[in-house]
Amino acid sequence: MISADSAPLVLGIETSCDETGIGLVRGTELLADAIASSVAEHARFGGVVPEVASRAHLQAMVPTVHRACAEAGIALDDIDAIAVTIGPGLAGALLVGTAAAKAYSLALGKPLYAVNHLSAHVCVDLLENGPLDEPCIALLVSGGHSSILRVPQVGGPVIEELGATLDDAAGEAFDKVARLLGLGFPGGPFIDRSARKGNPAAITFPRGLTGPNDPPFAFSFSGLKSAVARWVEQREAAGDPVPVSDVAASFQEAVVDVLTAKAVRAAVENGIDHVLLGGGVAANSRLRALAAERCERAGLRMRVPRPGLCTDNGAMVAALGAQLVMRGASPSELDVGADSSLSITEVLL
Amino acid sequence: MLTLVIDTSSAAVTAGIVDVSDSVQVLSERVTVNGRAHGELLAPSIGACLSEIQRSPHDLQAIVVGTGPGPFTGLRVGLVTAASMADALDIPAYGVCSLDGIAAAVNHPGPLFVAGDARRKEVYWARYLDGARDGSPQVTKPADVAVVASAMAGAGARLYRDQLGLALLDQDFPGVAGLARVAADRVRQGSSGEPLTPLYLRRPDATPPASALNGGEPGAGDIRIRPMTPADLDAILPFEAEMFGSEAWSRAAYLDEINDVELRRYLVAESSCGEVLGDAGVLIVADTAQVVTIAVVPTARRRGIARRLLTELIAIARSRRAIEILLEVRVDNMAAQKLYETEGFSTVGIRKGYYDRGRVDAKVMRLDLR
Repeated sequence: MISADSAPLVLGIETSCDETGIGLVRGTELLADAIASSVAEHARFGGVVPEVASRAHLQAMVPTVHRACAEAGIALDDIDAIAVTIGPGLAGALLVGTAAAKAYSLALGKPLYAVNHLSAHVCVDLLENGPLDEPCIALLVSGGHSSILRVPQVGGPVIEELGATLDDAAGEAFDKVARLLGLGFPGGPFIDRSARKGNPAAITFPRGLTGPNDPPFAFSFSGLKSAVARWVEQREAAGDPVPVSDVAASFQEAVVDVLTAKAVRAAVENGIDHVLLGGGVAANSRLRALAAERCERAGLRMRVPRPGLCTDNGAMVAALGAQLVMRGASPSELDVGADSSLSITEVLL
Repeated sequence: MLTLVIDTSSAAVTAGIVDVSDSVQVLSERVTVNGRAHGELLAPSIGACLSEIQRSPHDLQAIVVGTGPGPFTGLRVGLVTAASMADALDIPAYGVCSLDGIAAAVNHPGPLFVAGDARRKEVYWARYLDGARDGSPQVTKPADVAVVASAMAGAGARLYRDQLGLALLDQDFPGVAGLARVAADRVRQGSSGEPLTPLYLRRPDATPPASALNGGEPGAGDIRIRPMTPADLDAILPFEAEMFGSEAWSRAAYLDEINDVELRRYLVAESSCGEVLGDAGVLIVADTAQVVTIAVVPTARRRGIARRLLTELIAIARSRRAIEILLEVRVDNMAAQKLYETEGFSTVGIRKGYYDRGRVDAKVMRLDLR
């Protein structure tokens, strides 16, 4: 049992995409964040291949748990609870982490918390920036998701989605444009790096869903991606070189312009004085800079974890698990099933 | 030795507790046939097997798990469960080929054919002689199985019984007892645990894209270079318009170029299925040849097509007794310059403001043909 006076030690397992993430958190204190990535195996395919990711998770699971325990200086028996990403994500990949979490839960006799990947991205901020004023507005942007959320209570039962992408996720657009420009995979870091040498105003790419009659908090990146592709093809067809850095910078500017404008507007319209950034795309340096600038101008506080905690990791899952334990949530049953399309409003299954 | 046995290589989600001593005794067993719920069913089944004999996980001394072959997604549930429980309990885990478990369960005296359902109208199979497996497990269509045996077992054998035509024994899945028997010696000796490697037998269903954008570089071997004809214009004009926009040549302009056989020669690069992937043209006046155009559709680039076209243009220029061949290239088009340099061209001058309405200079490159 968890004693009332000490914060719970939670093991977090994340396998929703291509990172096998194992985290250890005590309360809101980060003890270990071990990651094994199969990203190099996917680079040659230009995207994550679910079967390749699933195979890699199986191989990496136990060694990565060991690394996390060594990093934290704890033994598995010290753990009070196990938290695992139950969805959303790649079905086969989620299944590996879920089965492992159940096995550790069963063998150690410790409760299991099957949690939402997206809520975990919001919750991870607590590890770095301390208690969060509630409710908060969260801009959650990754390879699979782009949403603006109103979070009444971190780790609480309901997260309200104010808007989401209607087509591609922001991170997906980064991957596709990087591929088009002959940059590496995943696209985010490569575009970010290339864009630093480019002119963000060189090409005016479209800003999707920013018209007066468009839904205020929804996103669309598919048209932007096509516009970039058309622009590049025309240059190549003319035999002209493609100014890669300018294209990268102009594309990136179009994405972060829309993301930050809508997030700030959501906070202002909801009377909330702070905005939280999370998800892999929140590691993007230009998004962080522009969000900080616009929040300051609007009199809002901005919170964002360091880039390493924005991308998928086990610590965020452990952080959410610890919140649930401390709030007295009931643990999950051992027959809980991975849900690849889990709704953002389901924090715990 | 109290041993947990797991198998998820088939639709039968299998868990059991076995006492391995001189004999192998099954104490509890749960088998649920549901090919889509391995993740949901396995852990509760293990829990139920332990409860039934009033034991806790800490009483377990070893784990035996079927390593397949079997459908990947379900197979991994059993393997990661075995590996994680063994890690948490600090006990050894042993892998057993799941087909061996079926063979051990039926204990057939003669040659035995064992097959699991591999989906996609295929079977995972192996042959057993005197109880020992004869070679590695295979995955093939039932029609391609060519083995001599006196009986067969397994869900794959049942599924294709008419096609396979052997006497079918009633053992569709590797039971707990069969799997435990295969690993019994290792369990008794307390051998150290093993890395649990799944028998996938198939590679992941993914191949790197052929497009040059992603690094794949199929050769230009299946590309044919031939003279352009008026009939090619139906294919060329749309991509000409797409690539060159307002500066694209019209059909009439192209026809004039093609028909001027005295001074000009135009070529197309064609794929094996007749798709036009690029074109090129050369103008020869007296003893000087000039490359007029070389274009390759964006999706077919980096396959050496431009080089093939260029080489052909050079050959034509030589045959027309030109002593030099010249071309212009954007100063910032490094890829094209590299191509020309490796074909022997060198820079002889700069034309100021030749491209982009005077904004970009052209390099003039020349190859001596004498």
